[in-house]
Amino acid sequence: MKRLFFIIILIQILLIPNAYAHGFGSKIDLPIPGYLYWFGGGAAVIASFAIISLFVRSKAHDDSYRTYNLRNVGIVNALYRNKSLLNVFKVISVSLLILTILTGVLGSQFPVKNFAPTFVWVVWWGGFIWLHILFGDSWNFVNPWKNIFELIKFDEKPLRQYPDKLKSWPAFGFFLIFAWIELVYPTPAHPQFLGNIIFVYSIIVLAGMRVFGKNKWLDNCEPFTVFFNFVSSFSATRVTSDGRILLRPIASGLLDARYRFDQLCFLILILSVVSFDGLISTLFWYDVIGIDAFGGSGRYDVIYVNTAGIIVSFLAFFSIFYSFVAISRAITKTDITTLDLAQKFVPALLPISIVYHLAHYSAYFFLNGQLIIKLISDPFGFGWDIFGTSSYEIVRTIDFILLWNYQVAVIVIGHILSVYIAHRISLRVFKDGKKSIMSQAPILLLMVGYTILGLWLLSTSSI
Amino acid sequence: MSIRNNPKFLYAIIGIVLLAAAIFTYDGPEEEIPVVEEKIEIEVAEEPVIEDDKTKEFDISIVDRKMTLDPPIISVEVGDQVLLNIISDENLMFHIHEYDHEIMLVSDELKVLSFSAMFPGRFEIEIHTGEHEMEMGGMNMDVSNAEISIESVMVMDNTATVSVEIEGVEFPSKGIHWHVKLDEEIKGHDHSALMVFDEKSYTLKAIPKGEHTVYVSLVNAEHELIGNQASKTFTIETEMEPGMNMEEEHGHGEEEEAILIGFLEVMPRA
Repeated sequence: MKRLFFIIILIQILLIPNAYAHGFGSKIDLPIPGYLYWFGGGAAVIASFAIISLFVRSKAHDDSYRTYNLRNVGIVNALYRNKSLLNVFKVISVSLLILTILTGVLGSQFPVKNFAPTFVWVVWWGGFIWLHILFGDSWNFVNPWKNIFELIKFDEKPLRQYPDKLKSWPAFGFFLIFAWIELVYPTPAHPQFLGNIIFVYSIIVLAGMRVFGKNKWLDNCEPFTVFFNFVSSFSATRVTSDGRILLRPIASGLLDARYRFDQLCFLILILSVVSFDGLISTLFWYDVIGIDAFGGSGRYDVIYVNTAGIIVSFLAFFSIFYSFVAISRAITKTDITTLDLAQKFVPALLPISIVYHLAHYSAYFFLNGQLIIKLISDPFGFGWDIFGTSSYEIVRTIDFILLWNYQVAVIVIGHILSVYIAHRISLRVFKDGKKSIMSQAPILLLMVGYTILGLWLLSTSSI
Repeated sequence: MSIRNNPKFLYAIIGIVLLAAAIFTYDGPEEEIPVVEEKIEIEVAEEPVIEDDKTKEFDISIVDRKMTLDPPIISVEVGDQVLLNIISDENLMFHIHEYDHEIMLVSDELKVLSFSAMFPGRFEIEIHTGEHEMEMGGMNMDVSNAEISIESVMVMDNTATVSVEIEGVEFPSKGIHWHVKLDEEIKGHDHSALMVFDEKSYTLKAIPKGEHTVYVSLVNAEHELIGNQASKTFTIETEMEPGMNMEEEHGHGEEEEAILIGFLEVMPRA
């Protein structure tokens, strides 16, 4: 097995030198130059806090934000009313799921020649998030399992009552497994493995929806529905239940969010997973765990330590966040419990997680994502050329200075948004400008810490 | 509303100044480079003796299949002329990805690899070790009469054994080996071709049903084509069983092992 892993990795490196991490191949993105960016990021957060202190105060007890109903725009309204367009997307999403399973199981087992790994890891996991930021909860419309369930017209009446005390913990568990596969499992891009696991997961989701009811399962047990739901509250648009499509300031949806403890944990899991993703390939991490980053058997050497690492990083992020909220509570001498306060403030962590995800995946998405152009013509790697794109040459030249600036810019913007949201929340909670500023001191320190961590992860040497 | 009465404005001014400072700092990514270089310099045994300041020289030792730099990253800038003085404690192939520079190293013998860093990025440096003994010095051999021909292609189920005849050059010797590739002509430094040392036949496995052409070519130790390229077409009658896979079966991996030992970082110039 170890030899097989070597052979597969070796072949892909030899054939496509620039086909990358998170599952496959080598990466060519350079770490961002360090200290100036740290300083820049930290200074931007402090500056943003000062500005926010000034401008937000006038709306102290106000959770509102400007919106514009996009249905007033003729073309948007026409597109929205035209249900056939939505149906086209639904058919495409179901087809893509089936294609992913089939190519994974039957196609070439060489990851870069197979549609499944690039589609799942690069296009869907690395890039789909953009659709959510721009267009809101797209997953809700294209979720292939939900669409299959509706297509088959399964009886929507649940066979069993969902145990409500479980809340969304099953989704937390599934997301942890997903993260483990992405970050720790030695061959996450192995097509057959991907095909099999997606098939098994599809059965689980369909059965779960049938037994406990479609929406109960999706909202509580389907990790991607939960994940993308969170991302949607960051989005610039929202479709309301009465059919309006609201354009709103980015991240303002987080002001409406009220999260339970299980959702707090899920949000912290997202933050810890994206950060741990950055950490595990750094030379620093290899130093810490005492394993030689070079010359070993790759992921096989670090299975146990990184499995423990995912759990420990979640606990560490949770403890740090909780401690800072506790300090904030102590400073303000409020009657609100620390846990309650943590639940109120946790939406402010989401922008940080999302922007780190965007920065971390940028080069991977833009470079490896190009593979999909080849693969749509030859999804099984059988030498087909359906759309005439199978000989597409991947553009490998990157403007690194542009890339670095983009990475730092999104991280800093994300942190400004986080600080802004935290501050608006604090005004709502404390209803007193002075108290709210005091409460923000530890939270601001935490945000600066996250900025530095995010930038450090992007700037340090990694393999 | 004056600044004195309203500290909010003071906050705003401090904020704007800090924000401006932050924005200005974004323009200087190249300023970080010397820091990275310092780390390298510590490990470099000798100072460059080159007049041209765009030449970067590194002395690299490979001991126990590890590069003796900490971290093992060679950092240069686009446009630099890179000079690597490499010495290894065993025979192996030193290879830089994407740049596709490679050099055969002989135990305890200093080898020089020189190239221009033309495009930015971070590229893997690997060593390739073989079960076979790589022999050196093939570059100076007379290979003008070297010729390879396909003697036979034996087909059995989904496998095809290609046997070749090699003339005009001593084989196996001096790093000379042959490349074999299915359904595609072989190019110089062709990493997708399979390398065959010592043997005069090679079995390709898990070939799908249909007509195929096998190409063979002689190459020297640097994987440069020498002599002609021969090809032969054959037909596989058997359907492949599900789960069989060409790529798993084929590849350099059968012949040798690649070990990641470090990176070449080529930083962009502003």
